[in-house]
Amino acid sequence: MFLLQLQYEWKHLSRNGAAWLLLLFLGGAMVFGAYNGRQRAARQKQAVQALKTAQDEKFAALEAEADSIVKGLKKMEQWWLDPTNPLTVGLLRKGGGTLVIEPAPGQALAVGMSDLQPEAYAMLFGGGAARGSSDYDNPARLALGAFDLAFVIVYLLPLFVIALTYNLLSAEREQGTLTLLLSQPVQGRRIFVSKMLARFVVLSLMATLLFVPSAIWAGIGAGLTAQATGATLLYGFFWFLMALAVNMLQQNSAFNALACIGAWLLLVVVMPALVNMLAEKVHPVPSRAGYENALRTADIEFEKMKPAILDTFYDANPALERKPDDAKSPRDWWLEELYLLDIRKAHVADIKALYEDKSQSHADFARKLTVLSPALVLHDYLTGLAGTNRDAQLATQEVLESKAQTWLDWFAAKYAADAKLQAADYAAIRSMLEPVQPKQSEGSSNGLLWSVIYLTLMALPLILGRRRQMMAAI
Amino acid sequence: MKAIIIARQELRSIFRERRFQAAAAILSILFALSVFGAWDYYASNEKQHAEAARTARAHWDNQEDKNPHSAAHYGTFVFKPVYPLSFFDRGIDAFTGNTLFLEGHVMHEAKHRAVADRSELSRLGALTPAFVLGILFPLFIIVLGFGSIASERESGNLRILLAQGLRPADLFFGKTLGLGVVVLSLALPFLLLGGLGLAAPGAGAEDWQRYGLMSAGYLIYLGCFIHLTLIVSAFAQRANVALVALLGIWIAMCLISPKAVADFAAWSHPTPSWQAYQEALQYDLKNGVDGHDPSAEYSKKLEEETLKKHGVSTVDSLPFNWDGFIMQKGEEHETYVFQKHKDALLAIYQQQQNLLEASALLSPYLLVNLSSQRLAGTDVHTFHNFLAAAEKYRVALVGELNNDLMLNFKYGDWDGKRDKAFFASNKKFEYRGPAFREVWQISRPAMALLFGWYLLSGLLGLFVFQRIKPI
Repeated sequence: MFLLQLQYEWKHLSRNGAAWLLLLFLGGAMVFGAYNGRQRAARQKQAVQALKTAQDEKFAALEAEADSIVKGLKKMEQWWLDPTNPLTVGLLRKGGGTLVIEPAPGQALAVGMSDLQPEAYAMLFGGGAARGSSDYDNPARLALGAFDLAFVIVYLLPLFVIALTYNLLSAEREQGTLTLLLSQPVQGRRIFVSKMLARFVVLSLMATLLFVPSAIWAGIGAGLTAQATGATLLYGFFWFLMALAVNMLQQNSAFNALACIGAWLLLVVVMPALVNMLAEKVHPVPSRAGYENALRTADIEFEKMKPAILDTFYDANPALERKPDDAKSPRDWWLEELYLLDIRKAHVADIKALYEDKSQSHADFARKLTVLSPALVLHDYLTGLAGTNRDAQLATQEVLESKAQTWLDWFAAKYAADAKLQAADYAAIRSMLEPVQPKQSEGSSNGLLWSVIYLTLMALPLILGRRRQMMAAI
Repeated sequence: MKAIIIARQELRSIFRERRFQAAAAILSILFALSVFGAWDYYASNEKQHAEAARTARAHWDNQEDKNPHSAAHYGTFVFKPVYPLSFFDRGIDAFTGNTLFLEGHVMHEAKHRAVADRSELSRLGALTPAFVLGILFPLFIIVLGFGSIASERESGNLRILLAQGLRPADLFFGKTLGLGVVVLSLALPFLLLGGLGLAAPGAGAEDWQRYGLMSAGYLIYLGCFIHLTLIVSAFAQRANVALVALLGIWIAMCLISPKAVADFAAWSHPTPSWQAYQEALQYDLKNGVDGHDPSAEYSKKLEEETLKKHGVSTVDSLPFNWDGFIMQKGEEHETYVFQKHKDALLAIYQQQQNLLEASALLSPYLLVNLSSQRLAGTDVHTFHNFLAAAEKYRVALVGELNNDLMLNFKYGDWDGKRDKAFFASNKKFEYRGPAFREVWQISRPAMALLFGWYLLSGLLGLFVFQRIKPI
């Protein structure tokens, strides 16, 4: 029975010109999404490679020069250009190291925040500085959002499912084939269930056959593709059940189309916009316009506290002589500054936390609201899977900051010991500059939980519907 | 006259339908919500930015006594202005940095994009008045009008109407007018409500002019959708088909084409990577005057020329402080290099923008989106106008400091200091966004194209109606 229905559904759809057109459209969108993913990945790879090459060349040149100086073949007058000086090489403006961040493996699946994420992080005396090509991207494009595979799945796939399901039962009635169907010596419920299943199997096959090759071509690994396909099918199943539930209302096809599109509009287009609006209202994030000023105010305060803090420094280092400002050598001055660095950091920590906390509350609240729509649940899941969501970004940032701290401590210790950098030191420096692998955010079971809840909700009319109602629906 | 009768009949039938009541109620609620969500966007941001600007200036005025060149490195911050109409259409606001650090030698990038403080969900759009009018309102037109002709055909009314001698043109004008009145009955109150959001912060006359044009743009845009709806409805045999086709058109125009075209433009005219941009910049910077490195080749050449010009043999015999002079020369070169690269980047943006405008054929949404952002002051052009003004100010302020160093300090006197009174007398950053006239000038092509879309779709409608099939 089911196989017969399956055969019938296949024949029915394969002879339907509109279905082919829709398939072509969805396939085209997937290919374009995958192409965009490939382009982005290639561009980022190139950008990252350029950063790595520049860094390698820089340190190779510094090492060679340092070697010449150590061997007495070359003299360097200006300390701020001296490649044997730890401060110059590790922390000052034209020195410093760059931690290159490898692109997230699933970036081609869901761009998320990755188009705003820097490709590298420069470790300098004054702290880290992001190095990102997005500084030079057209903001108009960033604002319009990416045409990625996630967009195709979240926004367009439901339309494909709806277009091929909205009149699943109503069309049979309108075309008069229903009587013929019911005159067969089989139970109505069985016809209904197998027809439904057959249609879903055909749709799933189509979607999978389009999605999997696109995802693989886009460069997403097999594991990620498998997970994303699972999520896609679940999402497609939700829309399929939704369209069936609408069919159960026993209205005509035009009504069904409107109701399905209304649901799509509400859940896919309006709800995200509404959620963002609500998050903005309930947890407003202050403009960062005040941020740099707050840091500067804190810095001015810190300058006033500095003499007292330096008292502790000189108490702890009796070997060092405390000199008046105009008698200080650059080294005296830098030793003080290096000591002050952590204390200065702690002094502004509250300001940073204030902004970050507000931003986090905003993001947490918005995430809670994702339960309002399966489209949001899926988007959340896909960006998490791809490692391009905010959490992944923050996790990567944490790694960068800790590596930067290690870097700073290493150079500060060398400088304090008045060491000259030599070839062995350069090997140690290189080992601290290994590219950073992007962090995945911790997987959340929320997505799965809510998928089950949504599917159950949508299946309710079918589960609870009495046999007679089902028959009437047919 | 017949067109008016048709229009009246169309109006009556639409107003009577539950579909209209439901759709109008939903759209009104969403618009009201969007205004509620956005009305304090301008006020709150403006307050924070104005406060930040005052604090930054106070920091500059009250800085510790220091050498003018140290002050140039101490630098100051300027902040992206917020415009009253940004509450209506946020455009690219969240995607551009709002804080710009100005110091000697370097043209920094604007920092702190609002989007970076939000989650990836924020990339899915926000409910703003522009979103409701640009994305959702066309759907309202489609829902009301998809059956306008197709249903008449299905019910056999169309045959009767045409048999009675009704000219197809009258039918088209009547239906357009009918749908137009329905649209206006909702759009005008919306625009008035939007006006309240503008009146609340006390917008100036220019803002009202901008708002007037913006409203006109949206109305023309909605007019395009009325034409499209009628064309498809006349073309389709059944109302069902008309609805599905129109939804397809809406999705292609409002959801797919903006992203697709922007991506296509980015691949056709790629922007440089961070490393490529910096390398090109550093290359040009090195091949010029370096104020901090007197050994640099160009600095040496300039020194020789200057000494010769003044007939002296050492820089300390010059009638001015050589340090200030070389700093300013270096600054001029650096500014030139930074500006050159920025201009090249802007040229790429412009090429991308041209592609976007050229693809207007695909979608009037791209046009209304573009003109709305321009008029709201939340587009790329307005942002770069601010950056250019800030750069001009940076050059002037650093120039003032270098000039002081050159004329009032002795050569080698890096310990000489200026006090608060001097810093407080330094140039202030006073910036107002581009004037209405300028905005109008750059908005004109997109607005003209939008109007062209309206006219052409109208003509196409007339053409299609002339060949309308009664059955």
